[in-house]
Amino acid sequence: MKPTYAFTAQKLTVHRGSLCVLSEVDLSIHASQWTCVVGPNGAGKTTLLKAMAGLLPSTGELRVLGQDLRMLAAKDRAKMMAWLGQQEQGSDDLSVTDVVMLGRLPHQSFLLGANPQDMAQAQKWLAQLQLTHLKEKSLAQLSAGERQRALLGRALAVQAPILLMDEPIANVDLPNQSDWLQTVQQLTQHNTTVVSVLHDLNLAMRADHVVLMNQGRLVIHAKPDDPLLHQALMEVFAHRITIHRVADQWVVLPL
Amino acid sequence: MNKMPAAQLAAWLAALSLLSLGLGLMTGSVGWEWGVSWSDPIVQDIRLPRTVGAWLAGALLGLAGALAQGLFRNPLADPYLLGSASGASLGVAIALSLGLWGSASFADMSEAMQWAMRLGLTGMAFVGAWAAVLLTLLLARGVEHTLRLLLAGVVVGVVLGALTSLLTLISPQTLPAMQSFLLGNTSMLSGQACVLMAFVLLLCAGLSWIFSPLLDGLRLGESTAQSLGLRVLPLRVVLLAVMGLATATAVAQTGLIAFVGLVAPHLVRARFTGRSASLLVLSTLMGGVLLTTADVLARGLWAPQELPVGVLTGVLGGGYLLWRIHASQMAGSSA
Repeated sequence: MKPTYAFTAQKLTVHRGSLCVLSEVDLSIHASQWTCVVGPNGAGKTTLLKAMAGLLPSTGELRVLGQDLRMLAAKDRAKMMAWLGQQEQGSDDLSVTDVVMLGRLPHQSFLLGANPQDMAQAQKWLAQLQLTHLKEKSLAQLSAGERQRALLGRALAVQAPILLMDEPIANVDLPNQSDWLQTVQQLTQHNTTVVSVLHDLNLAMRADHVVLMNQGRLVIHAKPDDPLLHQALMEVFAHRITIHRVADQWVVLPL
Repeated sequence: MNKMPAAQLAAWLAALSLLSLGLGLMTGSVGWEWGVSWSDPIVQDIRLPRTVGAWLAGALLGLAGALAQGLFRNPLADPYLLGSASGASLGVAIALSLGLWGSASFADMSEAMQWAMRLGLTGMAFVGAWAAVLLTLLLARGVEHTLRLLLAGVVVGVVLGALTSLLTLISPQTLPAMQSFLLGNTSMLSGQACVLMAFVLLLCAGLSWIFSPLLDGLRLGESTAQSLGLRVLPLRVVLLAVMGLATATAVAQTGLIAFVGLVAPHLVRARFTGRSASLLVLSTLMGGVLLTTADVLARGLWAPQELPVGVLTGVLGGGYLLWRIHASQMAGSSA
């Protein structure tokens, strides 16, 4: 039976030195839906996402698709969760195909390397993200939007049931943001759970669920329509924002 | 500059390797000699091990350079970054000083001194290089923090360099031998040295190839590498050990050859875009070509006077990097 939640965390805590940067977070992330983590700078959004991905040492209980995250082998964990980091570096001397093929690493052994199935998967994502005509180009030759698509292709080529993205569309223009939204919607329709950190509250309000963080604590986890979420957002952002309903969408404006 | 597929560039580098090896066999103490006889003892006993040894040492440095730049994600990283060069220098300085201080006979020496003499200059250079790398790792408290590792390497380099200078000051008789080591020297390479370097090169190239996915992962950042199921810490330890072994072996046989490890991966990247496994192999070939060519030039340019090969690699390598900086500035200003 498919689990209702892709992630469950109980008292999830992260310390950096003596500083507590994530404090006793209890959270359940719905499977096959898009959850967006928002909050002001330094709220602990990236820390929460990294802890969920197992990229940071943490305490508390953390289960992924019903399994204890810390008991999973590194490769098994990699096959379950794909990660796209904040302003992920991409070496300029890698071609787009090379970058996307790196997403197949969790499926390969060190000795055998890539097989035809890996190649086929990479080609599929290159085509799906409209990167086929750019596949021989190096990352240095791409625009910011194309570069971000190539890096997204790398994360999608993992073919993991969960995709975690930290600020995936920073520095990307509106048409590319629109493409990204479409991709996320397609992914959730195909049963992929998407969790992203976004600074853009307007885009975040398009998610299925919003997790609001502040000062290392979870403030609220709710649907975008929930008035309690709106109230919490106003409070966390010191009443410097207003939230409106425009053409069936929530729009957040600075005051 | 147009990029080449890995196989095409590898074929070019293999051809250049053969050419430089052939030229190496034809270059004698008085300059170029056409039509040398293979059965000539000078060719077999002196020029062949020297030329093949120069290629192997260059290949080891090229491989170590590509590993250093991949592991530290820094195009300016070179194989001597973890203090191996200054450690090897100190090892040689100690061996030379002990040899000069040695009393009448081997039996009268202390056990430590006997060990040092047995190890010889090559062994001491190797031990020194490894000891310096281990000291760097100890000071950096492991390999987790790249910046700490780089700083520890710099500190170890400076301190061991100062100790080497002190030893040379105390024993001025060691100066000529030390100078030969510091300037890089391929004239003393033997058949055994070639066998040893070939074995180490095969081992290091094989291990680097197998574990090269870590370098690919690191090119996208440490978190991404980790998220791809790569066990960053143990793999980094393995590749650092490979880098240390390749560097220490080359330095122990040829002394300090400047710039080959730094420039070889740069030259490859100027003509190649692709995965780290190919980059490592191509940098290995490029390192071999560079040092063999430099050795041929060092012997032939000013014959019968021989230039120190390390001086030549330093001048040519430094000049190349300056040209690259200038070219990239020009490209930036015209863009």
